[in-house]
Amino acid sequence: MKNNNLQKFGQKLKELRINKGLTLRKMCQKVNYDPSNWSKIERGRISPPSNDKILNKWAEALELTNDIEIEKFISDAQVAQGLIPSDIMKEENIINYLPAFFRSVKKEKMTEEDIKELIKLIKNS
Amino acid sequence: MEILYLNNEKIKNIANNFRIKYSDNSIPVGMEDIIEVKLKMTTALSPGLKYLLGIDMIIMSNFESIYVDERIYSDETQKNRLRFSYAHEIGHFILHKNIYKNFGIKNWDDFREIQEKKSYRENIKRIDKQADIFAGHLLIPEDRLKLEINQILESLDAKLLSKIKSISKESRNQLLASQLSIIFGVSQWAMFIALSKLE
Repeated sequence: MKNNNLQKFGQKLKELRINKGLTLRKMCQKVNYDPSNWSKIERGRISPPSNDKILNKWAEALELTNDIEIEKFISDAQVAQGLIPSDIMKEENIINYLPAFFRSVKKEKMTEEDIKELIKLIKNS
Repeated sequence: MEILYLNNEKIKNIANNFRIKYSDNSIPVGMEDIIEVKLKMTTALSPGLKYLLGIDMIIMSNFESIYVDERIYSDETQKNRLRFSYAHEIGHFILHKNIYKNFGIKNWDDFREIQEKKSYRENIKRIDKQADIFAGHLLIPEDRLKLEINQILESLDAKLLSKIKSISKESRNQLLASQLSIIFGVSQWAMFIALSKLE
């Protein structure tokens, strides 16, 4: 079962951040959070925290001022729990996970093993 | 498949227009701001990309997300390298989005198979070169570069200036590159290339 709340919250989180003109780096500096995990939350690959204190801090950094807005932000994060990551090998998702161009300083072409490694890395990102 | 030949002048114009559209006049050019806030692309961080596969960054075939080696992203000392890599990937996005479609890579099997073809690898080399040229022009606007060079030269006393003028162009560029690379937020090598191309 796909957790739509997870995806929806992630998209909303990204939208709020971009609307404030914040890059991933700046956002994470503001709230002292790991950018790798923040990006995963935005892409619906992991759950957001459910802790009120943390979520309040995020809401503040995203300049949500209206009480109702803040409350909705927190409750949306709290219902977006439970990780069911999308399968990156699935046909419908493939365009999102296939590299278009890349340049390796180590190799001119990727071997079977390299590609397996690459898929693993992308899956875990 | 033939890759369209784009000369330096043509790529420079494309890069300049892109910068005018998506960035202000400030240098170093804020690539993360352009990619994430203006183009609304997604950045994903990938641990081990560089260490295991020698890759700094990958632009995905949806041209909406970029995977960056986590270590390079987090390492303050790598920020100029990172900036150039971003600009290179955006070069692919601007110059090669349509070319990519012609490769007809629809899944991982296609991806695997096409790499065996010599013609593909040759094309990729050509494409990469174009993206590098784009990145250079995007991060080092020629007009601004001339201005900064003049400012440096004007700040020198007469004795030093005459000394600088007496050395070879290459040595002069090497000297200038170290100072200018800091101003533009690029590597000394990237700056040296830009200076060499300057008339």
